[in-house]
Amino acid sequence: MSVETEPTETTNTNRTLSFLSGQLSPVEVAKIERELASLWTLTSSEHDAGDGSAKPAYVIKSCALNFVLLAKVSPANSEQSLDNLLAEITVRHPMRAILSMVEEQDDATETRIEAWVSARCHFLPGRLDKQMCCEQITVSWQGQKFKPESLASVITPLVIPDLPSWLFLPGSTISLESLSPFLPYFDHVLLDSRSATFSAEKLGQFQFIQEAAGKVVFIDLAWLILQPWRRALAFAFDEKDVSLSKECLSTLDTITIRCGRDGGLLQSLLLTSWLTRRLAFQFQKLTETEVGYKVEFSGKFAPLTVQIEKGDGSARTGISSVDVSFHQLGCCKLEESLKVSFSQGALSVCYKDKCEFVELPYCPELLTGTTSECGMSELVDDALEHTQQDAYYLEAVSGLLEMFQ
Amino acid sequence: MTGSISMAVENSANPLLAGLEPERQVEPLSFVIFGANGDLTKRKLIPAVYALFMQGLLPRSFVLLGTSRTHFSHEEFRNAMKEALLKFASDLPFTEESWQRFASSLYYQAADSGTETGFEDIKKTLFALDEKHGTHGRHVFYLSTSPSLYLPIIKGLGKSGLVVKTRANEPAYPRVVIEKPFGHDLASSLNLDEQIHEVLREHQIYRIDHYLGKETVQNIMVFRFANAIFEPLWNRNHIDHIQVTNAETLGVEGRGAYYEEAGALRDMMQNHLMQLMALVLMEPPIAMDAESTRDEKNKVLKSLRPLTSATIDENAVRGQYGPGFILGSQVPGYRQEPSVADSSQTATFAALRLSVDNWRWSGVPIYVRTGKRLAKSITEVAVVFKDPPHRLFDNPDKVGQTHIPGNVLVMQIQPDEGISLKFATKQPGPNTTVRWLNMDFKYGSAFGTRTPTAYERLILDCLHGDPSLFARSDFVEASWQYIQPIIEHWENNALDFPNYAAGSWGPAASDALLARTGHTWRRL
Repeated sequence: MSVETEPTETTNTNRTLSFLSGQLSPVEVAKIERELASLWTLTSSEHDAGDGSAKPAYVIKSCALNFVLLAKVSPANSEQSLDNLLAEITVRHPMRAILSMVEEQDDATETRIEAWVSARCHFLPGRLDKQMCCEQITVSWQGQKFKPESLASVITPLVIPDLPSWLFLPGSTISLESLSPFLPYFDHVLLDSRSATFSAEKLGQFQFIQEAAGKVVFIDLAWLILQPWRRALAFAFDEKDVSLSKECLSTLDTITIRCGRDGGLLQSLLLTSWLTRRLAFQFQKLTETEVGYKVEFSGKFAPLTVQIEKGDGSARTGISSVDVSFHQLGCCKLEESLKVSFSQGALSVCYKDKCEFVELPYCPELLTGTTSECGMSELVDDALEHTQQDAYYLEAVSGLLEMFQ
Repeated sequence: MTGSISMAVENSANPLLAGLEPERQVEPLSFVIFGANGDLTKRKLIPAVYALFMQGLLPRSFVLLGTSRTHFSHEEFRNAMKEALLKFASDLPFTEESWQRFASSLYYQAADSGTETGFEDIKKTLFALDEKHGTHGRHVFYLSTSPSLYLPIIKGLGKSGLVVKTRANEPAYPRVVIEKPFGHDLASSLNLDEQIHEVLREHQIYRIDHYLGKETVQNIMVFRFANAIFEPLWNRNHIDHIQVTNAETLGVEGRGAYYEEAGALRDMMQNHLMQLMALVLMEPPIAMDAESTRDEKNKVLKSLRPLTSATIDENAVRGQYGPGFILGSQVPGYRQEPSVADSSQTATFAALRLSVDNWRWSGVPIYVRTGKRLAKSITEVAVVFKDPPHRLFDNPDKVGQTHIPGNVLVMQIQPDEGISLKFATKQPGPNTTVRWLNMDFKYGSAFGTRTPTAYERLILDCLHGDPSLFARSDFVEASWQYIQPIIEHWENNALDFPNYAAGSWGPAASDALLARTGHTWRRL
């Protein structure tokens, strides 16, 4: 039996300051809520620092959603990098952030779960006397083989009822299929299917999305990234913009999508799938080429070939350009091709000597010119605005499955 | 095109557009500011347009042409605007690179808007910029000038051909934005409208009331009509009375000459507070389009019981501040302010009790007050609910003889924008003691994002051609119609001013106004 001693005012103040400064305070897994409540109580009571120094700034606790970030520890997903990501997101989205790190260790003999609590605080604009804080719970799961039920039993009771709940799976370190114990507690699953290859795991992931889409809303960063490309292509065939009429969509002949060597393939496949499904082309054949894929479709009047070429674009990651050429059919006697390309923070849509632009969101990554995609925190920011299941994403997923099954 | 090819695309619409949100994109255009060297341009307009630019909400082909009588080169104008931006919008992200990109859209043309040559100069520059930037002759004119220049400028624009009347079904270019005041009284407002309508149609006129651009004001409609729990209570059966307060600690701040002509009724009541009140009292519009909402707001004004010379003293209170203390500093009285007459009869405080003669609000007093040099700066709408019909608990609802209202829903417009609901709860302990607590929602802490300024929202809406948040001529007219008898009555009946000390909550008559119906102003 342990004997609890009454903490002194000084130790309480130190705990408060440590908590508010973002330092992790270890807590018993069974007492996470209790410890958080105690720390917030301490922050709301005005404590003198004890040494005559200034009192801590007035703290407002704020929470508009639950956000669980679940990932396996890997070089790409270090705890520090994910922690930093949460730090950026919480500035714009007050939330209960739960960072759940899974570490599989071959030599582990037992499962070990540890937890810490901390606050994410920032000063309100123009107010150095008021801080807005979110709470973060960090849970570490270590064991030989990840047991989702085990971690879910810790995480899901921490999801605050009645607030929107998001489960974020950065990278593809944890398979969607293994997350059944988590899903009933979440409204949205935020995933990032971007990759430089298409593997069997990806196939399983998209199959799962198709099956589970009625139960939870899937938001895929790979799909959100495509929105300006989709917009650019759609507007290209809108007479108001580039002067090509939508009838020309029936005369597509060849599409060449160029993407970065280090990423962009999956996005290119999704774009292909979306475009061909929207235009009612029938999938015929997929061939792996030296540089990517060649996908052949039949159309009502003529075939369509989509070439996906890796490493041939200006960007290291993401799609660099989409070239569209046409058949010479009917009155659409077109010989030139349409080109949509990424440059200087925008997509230019050029046909003949006329170019229009589709603005990309403002983010520092785009200014480097090496990628056509914003950084993770901006993407998650954007994703949190999407709360409905996008039926056109599911349509594209379905097309993708058809190509690879 | 052959018929067979067109059949390949089955839908009549472009199938690639499906699922893409119809992005509201501003068309390429030129935004012309008259009074470009003025305070409003520097403090509000340039920061707002820059903020829109930084959010990617302006089109690539965009021109901002400033004009005033002051002589500036394009570069001098850009430098002056940069200085203003750094001074008045320190919360906006600023980098030299982003400024340079923005500044490349900024131009200046010195012109005397009182002469035909002035307009010819503007026209020449504007057409050259249209050519250079591909803005296709789409022009929006913002009149950031003294109200006395509205008509000369609009007429000059008409005469020079820069402004032409469009048909109702045509795109509303050119557009003209004007700032309040929309007239000095009912007659001048009608005259202004009549003359403007000779040059422009109503859908080309954007009358800015910056209150309508505030997030909290827009939230009134969302709060009322997106939450099913409040609207059933939003009527005379459940609401005891409503208090609208607009209090400022500031005095006239060097604008004595303007304020002498305006006073509290014209400065705040006829425009901002009438708009605010209409949003709180209106019926749900049939749709969220500009005209439906403005129709409903207009109905509220038409339902106000007009005040006559026989009823004004009973329902309206005025005041003028004398010397006093604000936040520990001694401040002069209104009559001691520069450019204010020693015997000024201008009211710096006004409070009204409004009666709304419609089914929903019959018998519910609506109290509205506005004043300068009051104890605190705050703007809020407080909806005070009726007491429970049967008292079960020993509720300490009286301090002395003063009744403490029960449930109060407060929509705070500024500062600390948010909503709070006062409700009763049991104080922990062996006895059933009722304690009143506030459940608070604050914009600043609930959303971690920067709140756009009212001008950002309104300028963007104007560029999109959406007049929802702008005052329509019939609202302005109805508002003047209600206020005009009070103005005339007060002009004809002098009062012994000053009658409240700076730093207080207004004249004693203001408290008496509510006391007559058994109410008190909220302690703010």
